[in-house]
Amino acid sequence: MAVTASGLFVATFVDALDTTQLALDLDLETHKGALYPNSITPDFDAAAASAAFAAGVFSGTEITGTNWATGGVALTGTTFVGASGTATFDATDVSVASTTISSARCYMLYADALAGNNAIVLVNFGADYSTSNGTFAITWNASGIFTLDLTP
Amino acid sequence: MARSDNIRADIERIGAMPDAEFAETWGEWARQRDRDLTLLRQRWLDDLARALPYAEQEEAAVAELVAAKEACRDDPTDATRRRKAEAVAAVRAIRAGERDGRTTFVAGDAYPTGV
Repeated sequence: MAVTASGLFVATFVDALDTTQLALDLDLETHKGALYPNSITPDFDAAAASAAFAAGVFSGTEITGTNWATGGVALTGTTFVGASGTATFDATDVSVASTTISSARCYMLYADALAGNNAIVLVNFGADYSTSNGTFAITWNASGIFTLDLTP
Repeated sequence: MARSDNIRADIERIGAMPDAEFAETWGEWARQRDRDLTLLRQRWLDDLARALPYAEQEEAAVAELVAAKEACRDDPTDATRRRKAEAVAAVRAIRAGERDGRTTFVAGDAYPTGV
């Protein structure tokens, strides 16, 4: 069991585009990111009921700490744009001051505004990160949090 | 607190930390990664100082972005879509400026991240 990759949660995107018409709005400023340890094994193909905050492998495994509350932290400054056949999702770098957090291995962004708290993307940090009364920062890739190649 | 507030606080905290306390806090981290402790602190402070104006600019641009997204959501016309597109472009330009020139602000490199 381990976090070995970053990825998008397939069921969430399928539900947004099929007859389910899940109201996934990547422009919202209310999506939240929660932290998880390396002891989980994310399943990007999990059914919608399991690909969600506090469900499946994300049930009872969330890492919280001082100033990093249960449920995680809102992701702000979100942008979702398309150009040259590619859609790009991005946001302001995460920065939370005065945190005490132990062994965070990954960040799972989920749609807090949706009843199902559907998981959107999981970002593997590649190592465990901890803080002791310090700033927990996530600096996103220059290309954004994720890109979708719509014209492969 | 806004990201820029956190960066300012970190600059003050890390800059003012006595050498002995800095060594006690980050000495083992630096030793494990074969980093020079003095250089580590300087690069850390340099990177924070570099990030600060971008964070301030982005916060101002995001305020307009949020307003533009709301306007477009409430009334999706050509005008509101254009306003949103311009706001997104402004935010992305600031981010590109910060991220494209970022050489040491990467996970696990140069100085402790997530601290």
